[in-house]
Amino acid sequence: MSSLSFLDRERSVAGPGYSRWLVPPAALAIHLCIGQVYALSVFKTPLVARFETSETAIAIVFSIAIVMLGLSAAFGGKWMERNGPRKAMFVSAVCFSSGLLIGSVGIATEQIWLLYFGYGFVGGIGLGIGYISPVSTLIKWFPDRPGLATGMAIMGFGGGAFIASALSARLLSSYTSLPADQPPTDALVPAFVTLGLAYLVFMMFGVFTVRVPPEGWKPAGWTPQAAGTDKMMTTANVSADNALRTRQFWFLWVVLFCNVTAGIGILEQASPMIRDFFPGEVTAATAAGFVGLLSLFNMAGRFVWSSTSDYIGRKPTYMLYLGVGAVLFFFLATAGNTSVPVFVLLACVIISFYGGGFATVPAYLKDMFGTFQVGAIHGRLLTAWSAAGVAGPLIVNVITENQRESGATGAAAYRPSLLVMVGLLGIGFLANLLVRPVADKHHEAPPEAYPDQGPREPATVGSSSSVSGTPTTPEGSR
Amino acid sequence: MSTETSTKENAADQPMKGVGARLAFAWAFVGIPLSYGVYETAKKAAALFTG
Repeated sequence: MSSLSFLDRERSVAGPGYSRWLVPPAALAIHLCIGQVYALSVFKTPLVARFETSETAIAIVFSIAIVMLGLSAAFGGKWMERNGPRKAMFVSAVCFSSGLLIGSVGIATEQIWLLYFGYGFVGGIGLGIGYISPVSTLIKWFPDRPGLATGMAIMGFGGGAFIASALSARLLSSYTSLPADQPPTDALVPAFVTLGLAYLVFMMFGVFTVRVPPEGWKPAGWTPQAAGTDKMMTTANVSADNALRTRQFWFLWVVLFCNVTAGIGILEQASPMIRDFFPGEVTAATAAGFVGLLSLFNMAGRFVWSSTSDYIGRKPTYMLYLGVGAVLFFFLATAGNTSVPVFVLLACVIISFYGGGFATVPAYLKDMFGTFQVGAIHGRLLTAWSAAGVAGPLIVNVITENQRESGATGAAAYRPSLLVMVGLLGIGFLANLLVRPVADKHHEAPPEAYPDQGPREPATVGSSSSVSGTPTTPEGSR
Repeated sequence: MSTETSTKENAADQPMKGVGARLAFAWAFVGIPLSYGVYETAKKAAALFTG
């Protein structure tokens, strides 16, 4: 496997003149592709027709992929930290692309289990490893603005769904020879193969572009000592295993869980919800437009709020998401049906907080636990996402269903579930308030013991060997 | 040490030849598809305002 040694962490150290602004596009190249998972519904109708099965059977593909995303992010984080972002991105690209290609074989042979295994299992591993792969590298390149850096990458996950949705629809209509009133089942295999190959090429751009900073590198003019004066921004390091033993990790788990549960509750029900709030006033096309607008706010929130957190601090930012979010949910429940613009405005701001919560959490983890294994810690925290993915829709569906059975209609049917979300956000708000700096006993040995971790003597790109005394193989911007 | 540090920081401030073009290419490579996706979604979202 020596031909793949260029993937090693040591071989991906930035050389002279490498610009750190190349790292966000490398990260985006991964996230823009794996965000495709949220556009899988484009294939739902033709897949149902191809396999002559139920929508539920097809929805299992998505569920397996999301479960594998959570598991591989949680268990693959430490491997990723050891092997570096380039190898992780490569594995992600190969798994995600192979998933689509194996899935296409399953579609061609009408073996649904092969679609589950390919897109769900193998592709899902690509999703999880890909999601966390650029995070710690971005944080190390942008210690002065970690929220901006991770916001840019995680914004790509939302943007990837936009691209895939439009692209997949075009591929299906281009490849099919069936009449427009029939599901384009004949276009599924070429569409999956095209996507698999296109995503492989696109993700490889990220693999070949990403670099880790040389040991001791820091942005010109930025002093970690100044950042260290903020007690909520540690200059120490906590390992992924130790992080699990801290209260801070679990408070942040609750914070993420509550924020995501509330957001997913609305996202999942967006279309029927606006139509039920305004019966006869909102058409199916208008509701689809509402869903599109929410997606845009979801993506924008990831970048805007996460970048803002660099200036106002991570804890106040989550107070905004959870505190103001709870107030907005309360208004949505009690006054959301007064007019369509009020409803849309409230929902859009809430969803921007939902997206912001995803994008800001890596920087919050860096503030609490340092950069040592922040990618691995982030991966483990994402289990909150998986749990929220189950809880959010469940809360809204079960409560709303019960309300309807007891005779409630329109906005009234949603009111109790929205008020539950207010309570949930309140719990998240309290958990955020309880986040304090991590006790010294959880800290690792001084940062000098770890390459590329934390503050030390000033150095710049290209001076790694002179600082560390350890020979590396910088590739720079060749 | 301070002289050495200063020299290193100055070196970082001098980007390698061609890095500007590489940056432009990299951002265009991801920016163009992203813009396409956002445009298509914004077209859908417009239905909310046009009915």
